[in-house]
Amino acid sequence: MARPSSSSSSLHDLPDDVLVLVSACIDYRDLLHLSFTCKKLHELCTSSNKLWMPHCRMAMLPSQPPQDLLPHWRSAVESAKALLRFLIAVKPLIGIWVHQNPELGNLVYVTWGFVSVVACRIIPQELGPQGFDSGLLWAPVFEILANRDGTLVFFLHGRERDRNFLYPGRFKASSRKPNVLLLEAEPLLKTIHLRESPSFDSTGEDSGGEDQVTIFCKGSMGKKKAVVAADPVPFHRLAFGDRRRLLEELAPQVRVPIPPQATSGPAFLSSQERKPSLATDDGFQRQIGLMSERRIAMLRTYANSTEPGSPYRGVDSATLVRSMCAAAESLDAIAKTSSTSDKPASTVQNRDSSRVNSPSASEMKRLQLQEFLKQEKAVGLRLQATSWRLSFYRAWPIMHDNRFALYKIPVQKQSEGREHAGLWGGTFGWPLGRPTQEKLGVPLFFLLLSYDENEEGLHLIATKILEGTHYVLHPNGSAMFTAKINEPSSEEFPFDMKSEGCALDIVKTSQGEGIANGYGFRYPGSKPGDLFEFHNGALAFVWRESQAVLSLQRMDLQSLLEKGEKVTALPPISNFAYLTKSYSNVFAGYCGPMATAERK
Amino acid sequence: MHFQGSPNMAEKRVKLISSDNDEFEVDEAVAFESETLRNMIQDTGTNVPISIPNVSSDILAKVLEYCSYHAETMETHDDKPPITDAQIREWDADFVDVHPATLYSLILAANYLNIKNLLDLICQAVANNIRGKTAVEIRKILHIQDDFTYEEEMEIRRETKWAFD
Repeated sequence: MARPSSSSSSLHDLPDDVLVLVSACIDYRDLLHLSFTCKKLHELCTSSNKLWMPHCRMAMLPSQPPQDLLPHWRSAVESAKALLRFLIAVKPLIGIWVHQNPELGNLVYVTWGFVSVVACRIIPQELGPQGFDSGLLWAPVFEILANRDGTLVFFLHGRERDRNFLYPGRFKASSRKPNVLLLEAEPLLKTIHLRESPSFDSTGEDSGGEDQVTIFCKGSMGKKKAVVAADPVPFHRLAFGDRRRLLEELAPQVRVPIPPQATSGPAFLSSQERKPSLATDDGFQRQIGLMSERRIAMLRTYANSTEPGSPYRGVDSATLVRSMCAAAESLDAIAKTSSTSDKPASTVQNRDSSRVNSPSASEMKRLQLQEFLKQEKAVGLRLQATSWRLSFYRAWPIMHDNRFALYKIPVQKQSEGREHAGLWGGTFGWPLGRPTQEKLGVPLFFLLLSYDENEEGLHLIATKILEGTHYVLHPNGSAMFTAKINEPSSEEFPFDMKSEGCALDIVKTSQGEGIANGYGFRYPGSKPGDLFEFHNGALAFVWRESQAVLSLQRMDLQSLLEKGEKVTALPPISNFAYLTKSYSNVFAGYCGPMATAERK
Repeated sequence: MHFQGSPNMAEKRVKLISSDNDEFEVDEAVAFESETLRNMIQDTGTNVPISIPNVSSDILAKVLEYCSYHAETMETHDDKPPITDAQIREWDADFVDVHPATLYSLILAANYLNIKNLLDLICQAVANNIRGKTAVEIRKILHIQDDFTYEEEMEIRRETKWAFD
């Protein structure tokens, strides 16, 4: 390995084009490690956008990215590296999030906005006039935008007293693939503000990175972390009632009015502008302009809500305590009411005996709320992405009903023999997806089709994740039907197999079981039925006894959302997670009269 | 220096001159591995020697070694079994097992001469030297001198904290 006589003896002497080729072969982290090696390479890696853009593109995969927008996104932030920082933090949020309550379904779809991600609640609704091609009604839940430097800005959406507001806070990304999003109040360190100071805690990454001070020792870089300040009382340790009160009291204090540009401007491209043929159109450019204005207005709102250029500060703890005390007589009273309302009151004897030995449960809680609020001078709103080990019943995660949380639905990948995996729309009745004249509307069901293999063979499971009925019969996350796809059925399709004049061919019929009334609401029973697969890709499940039919068609949530119509949000905390048990549509009162499902 | 890519003497030969004025003679098929040389030969023919002013003799020799091997893999001989993909990969791996500085010179030459396969091969080789390694390891492999002060290193690592936890 003799050194050659040639002039180019270092990596940084290579032309940009060639370095781009090398950069495309490595991970963005490798590129960063390379930039740590020496000043010249650091300079090169930091200043070159060309090196980072391929990584930005890769970071957006495999979700459907608005690729044609990427150059506009790039110019909205200071560098491609800053853009990558944003993309890496928010990319894992893209997808479908749910909560058990209300039982009609609580479906939040997170999609790309403009240098942002936008969380949209698809509300329970009826099938629109264009059948399964109708745009969907949705309400804004939250948005995470990128600052110029790639740091993140979080806004919760909400409505109070007939006015829409934004509720600024911090977003804390997760180091591992997140499957839970938590809305929390967090104590904010005010005294020491080292911008971008490294911070670690037990829960993972802190993308904002301002709340703790960490001591580094050279040599042990990235391995040993000496945490000076940690959360002594984490939010989740508080009693449910305290958490709810704290959040509900905090929200009105952090809220800011929505700037006019943000009210009128679109959060994402509508379907017309996305059509490639129109990409060069004036309409497209105008939309970009509007989205860009909206973004700038929102960032400005965020900055004004704290101090310009300074990190998020939340609200003064003392003020928050005062306002919480205004509702109750004292902080003690808050704690007392919470402890008595949250847990069944313990007997007098128990209390007496515990008082002698150790603090009672109620005293502990009272102490915790006080401790929590005393921790720092300021409290703020925080969205925390985290990775929990979840248990599932079929495809549905088992959830806590006392956490302000959204749970991610794992992506159901299509593969050979599992072609139906993914999101489907469904309606009761035949023909498929056509509102019939005698009814005012047909409730639209969102079904997640997944596969499960057990000793009895491969099953197709249709999990209900949203339904547009008036009053729900079966819990959110129930399997509407399961089908043993390798057990053919000889049943005849009981309806006219004509759809818009052309005959439908059945390609496959399998035996299965459909949902039926069982032992109360929580425990539905099942009755035999058959799944029919049609040549055009549609599915229909027919209950044998009742001849009820649930017809299904694959759904492209993204495009239906883009075509859809925005409706108003709930009050901020309920708008994130609606934790009250409910069997009716709490998200919209304006959907008009709803026909109940013809389920048996 | 002569590279006999093919025993077929009837084939046209091409003369190449390196930056340090050494003359190389190769079969046209070997030179055609390079898009740049192909275009030049098609413009000027094979009578005039082609000078390659920005590639030195030792690097040009390596590049031509690569080109003649790969030109040969394209040919079919009745008496010899065809070269397998595994053999080519092995040969390629040996070929790029050189000092990093040689790799950089080879990248530049492959880039200038527009030899796509060679360029890809070397980029992958350089990437392999970086992939999954710490800054300290990369410095060692690529012979990079650490010129950061402790504070500077702290600062740049803090800026990029977002990527690592």
